[in-house]
Amino acid sequence: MDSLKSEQNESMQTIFAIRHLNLYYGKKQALHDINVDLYEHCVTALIGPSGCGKSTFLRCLNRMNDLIDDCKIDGQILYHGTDVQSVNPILLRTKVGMVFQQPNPFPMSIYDNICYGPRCQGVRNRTHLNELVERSLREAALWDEVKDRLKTNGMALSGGQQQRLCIARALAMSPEVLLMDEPTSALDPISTKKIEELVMSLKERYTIIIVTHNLQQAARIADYTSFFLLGDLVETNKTETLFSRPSNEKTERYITGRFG
Amino acid sequence: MNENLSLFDAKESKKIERKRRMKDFLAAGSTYLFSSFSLLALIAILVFVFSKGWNTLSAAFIVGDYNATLTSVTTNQAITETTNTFTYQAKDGEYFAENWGLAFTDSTTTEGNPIVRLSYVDPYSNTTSWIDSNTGEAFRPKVGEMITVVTLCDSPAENEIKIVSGNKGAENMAANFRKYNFVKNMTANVGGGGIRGSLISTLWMILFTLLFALPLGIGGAIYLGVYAKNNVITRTLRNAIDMISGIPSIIFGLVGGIVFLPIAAGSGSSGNLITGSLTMACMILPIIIKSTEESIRAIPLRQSQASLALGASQTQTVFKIILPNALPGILTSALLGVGRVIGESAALVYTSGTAIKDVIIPTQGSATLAVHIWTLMSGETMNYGASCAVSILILFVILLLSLTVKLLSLSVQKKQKGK
Ligand SMILES: Nc1ncnc2c1ncn2[C@@H]1O[C@H](COP(=O)(O)OP(=O)(O)OP(=O)(O)O)[C@@H](O)[C@H]1O
Ligand SMILES: [Mg+2]
Repeated sequence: MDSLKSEQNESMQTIFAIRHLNLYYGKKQALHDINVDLYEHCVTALIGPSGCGKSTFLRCLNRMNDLIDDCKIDGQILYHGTDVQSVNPILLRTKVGMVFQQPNPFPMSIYDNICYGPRCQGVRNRTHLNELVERSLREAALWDEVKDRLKTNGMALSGGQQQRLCIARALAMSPEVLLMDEPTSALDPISTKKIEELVMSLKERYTIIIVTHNLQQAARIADYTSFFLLGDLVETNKTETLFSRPSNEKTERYITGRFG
Repeated sequence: MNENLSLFDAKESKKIERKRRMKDFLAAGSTYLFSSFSLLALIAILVFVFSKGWNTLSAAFIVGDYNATLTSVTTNQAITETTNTFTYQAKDGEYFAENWGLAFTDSTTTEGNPIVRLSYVDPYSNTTSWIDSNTGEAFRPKVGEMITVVTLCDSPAENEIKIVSGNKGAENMAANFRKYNFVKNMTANVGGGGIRGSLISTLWMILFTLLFALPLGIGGAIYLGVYAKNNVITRTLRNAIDMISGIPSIIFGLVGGIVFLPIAAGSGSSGNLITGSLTMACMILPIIIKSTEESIRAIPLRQSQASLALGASQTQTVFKIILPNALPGILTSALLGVGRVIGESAALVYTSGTAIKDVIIPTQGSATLAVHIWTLMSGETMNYGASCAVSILILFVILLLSLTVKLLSLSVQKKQKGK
């Protein structure tokens, strides 16, 4: 264990450091004293039974919880050493992109979908936008399928294509981190496989934090896995370690399917 | 135990079945009865309005002046001779000149002065050589036209000349026409009764009302639908908006009169199109806020979430995602508002005046179409024909508006289902 930790610290840069994070929805506490480091250029999977706070935790990282009226946070979420609560959320979200469970393209053309984020930041240059669209769609492995119909409505694509469009749309912002909340749970196995491959290819350039209910998926694609239970972060470990030799008894019971 | 058994008892279940059928029949029957009542009412309205108003409705009626214009008429060869004798069954109050084929009645001008009106013109009436001295074109007298003054004479030699004024009554006019076979010249009040002015002032009213109400309403809806926290103030605001839509329009008229008229001081005590449209804007504001807010709420949350997660500000999200998606709702609310403006009279009587005008200046009072009806019907003689003709127009526009609203909401539903 000790050797593993030192190995992590040497080769990996911490991008998010979470310290004593408590989160309340009104009076109800949804996260209890979370402490964890998330590493750059890694895929980190968040697993755990339904309602344990995975989405809540993910939304803390780009401050989407700000939108919930009675949500209160204390503790620190350090992004490159700065507390995210002190930075402009708009700036934070351009660096920390998000992909949702339900594909949610805008009801506009594929092209405009991709350009939405950059345009909001004031990018107007046509050739620059064209390059951006092609680059993002290529990165999201969607270019070959849609390059002839960039003007068609994004809603007219299949579910799997819509989800890759949403990924491309997030990538167009050139973020450092990509948060994904069960991005494949609404998709068929083939689309799921495509997105999994995509995630693995993206980790060279981006840091990916992905919530999943599919333990095999976590085992396939994640470098690190965190197990949440009832608002507690029970265990974070290298994925092979967590699935083969979990250090916590609760983790073992969950991954062997004995509860949750 | 017993109840369970009775369900399987054939006799018992038949009885229950009969009872149920009976109840169903009664419920269905009363539903049909009541809905047929409302259908009957609708048909009655349409039949009444069309039977009374259809004949009056014409292009001239729609684009014509309300106030008659004074026209002087001369004759082709100085004098016209009538040779035929015409027959006509004169009604009560009508006086017929058989030698001319013209009938006259007593009437009043729009200013309320006594005047003689033509109530019947024989199709072959010998007035062919009458000439409008302004235009030089043939002048054919029409029913409804007012005779101000006429110079009659006994023969082309003008041995005896008689000048008859229109304010001396129809009986006198007819008697003189009977006596003389030649008309030297005549001054008539031509045309009138048209609704062009009221139509235009209705258009102005719609324009100004939307100009005031749309920005306020959309702004309010965005506040309530996007920014407002769910707290006591917001709930109170929503309830207040709901309550406003239930206030009778006459009260809007009163309060509008008290609040807005001083602003427009100098334009007379009866207000103008601006004060009227301010009042109307207050009236339709709740419609616009509610309908727009509803359509904002109907936009899936994940759309605005996606926008915010991409680093868009709340304002950018409102303008790029929320408003474009809410556009059909905004349009619907605007159309509903237009319907209210077209149909409203009570609130406008005190705030934009009841005078029917031909030249419309927004800073002066003038009647809209609905108020036009009110004015026509509040005179000494109720003018059912013209009122019903205006009603046909109003009903037609309202029908068009509600059809458009239906189509809009259908296309929105299709879009939401299709994708
Ligand atoms: N907006 C909210 N207001 C109040 N409570 C909330 C809100 N969102 C989530 N919660 C509560 O917080 C807890 C954690 O929810 P969260 O959505 O993070 O779970 P999750 O692990 O993502 O579950 P799932 O796997 O079903 O998506 C749940 O008990 C949930 O009821
Ligand atoms: Mg979740």
